[in-house]
Amino acid sequence: MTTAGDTPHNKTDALSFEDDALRCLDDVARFARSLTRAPDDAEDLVQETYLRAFRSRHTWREGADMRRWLFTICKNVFLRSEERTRHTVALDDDPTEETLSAVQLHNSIVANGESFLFDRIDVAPAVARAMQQLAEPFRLVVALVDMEGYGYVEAAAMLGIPVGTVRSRLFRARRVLQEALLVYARDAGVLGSSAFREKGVRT
Amino acid sequence: MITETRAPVVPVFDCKETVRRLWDYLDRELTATDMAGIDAHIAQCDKCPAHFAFERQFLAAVKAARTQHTAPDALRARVRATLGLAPTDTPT
Repeated sequence: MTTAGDTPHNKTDALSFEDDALRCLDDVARFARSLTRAPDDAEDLVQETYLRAFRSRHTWREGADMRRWLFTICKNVFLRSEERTRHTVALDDDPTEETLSAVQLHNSIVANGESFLFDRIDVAPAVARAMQQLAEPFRLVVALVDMEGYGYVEAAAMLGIPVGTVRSRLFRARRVLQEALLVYARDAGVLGSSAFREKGVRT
Repeated sequence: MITETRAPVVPVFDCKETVRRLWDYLDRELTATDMAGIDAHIAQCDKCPAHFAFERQFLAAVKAARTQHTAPDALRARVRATLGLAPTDTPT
């Protein structure tokens, strides 16, 4: 009989933990990249995440969601490194107002003859760049919900914030991203007055 | 005794009530009856479907952006080393 603390996990458990953790590496790397502004920072974040996971492996239950566990560790490591900037961001937006703002933005896009935005350009590079401009609390919710597919309740649990806060941050982030995409498209010459005339839309 | 099972009543939403639920609907975070209510409104509205279609395209674009990031081989090697060599009793 082994005693916790006396003996590390046996060989079978060790392999199982490592296999499960390594299987999530691409996901964790992608998540880390969506949070950080530089590739080198992302790689350091991933390594620190795995280091802490390894050290905390005794808290991981076999059969639990390894990906979600690693994401939570990754988020915690990231937040500690970004703590100095957190107080500068206003976070208490009304989610309903933010939703209606997105609708108003779309009305404006239609009025400017720009509703074909997503048909004209590959916006993925612009999204990636705009993500890096988002303040960290907003980047986190977009990464978890929009990129990684977690629901509001799951994201709230992982971030340790109320579901309502997830919604307000997410909806605001989406509006900011959309505005950034519009600027990107206009700067690229894809949208603007010529597109407006081409579509024959009245202002 | 015959028990009658009633289908849940689908709420009737106007345009304002519908667009207020835009993101919750696209994220499939509404109740089944509210989802059905939005579906019913969109099916008969001239204006709202464009909003939902545009925002659905936007969400697809955001999700598509994530595929650009995968772990490089060098990072994989670093993580393997971390898992294999890090002592379990090192203070954090």
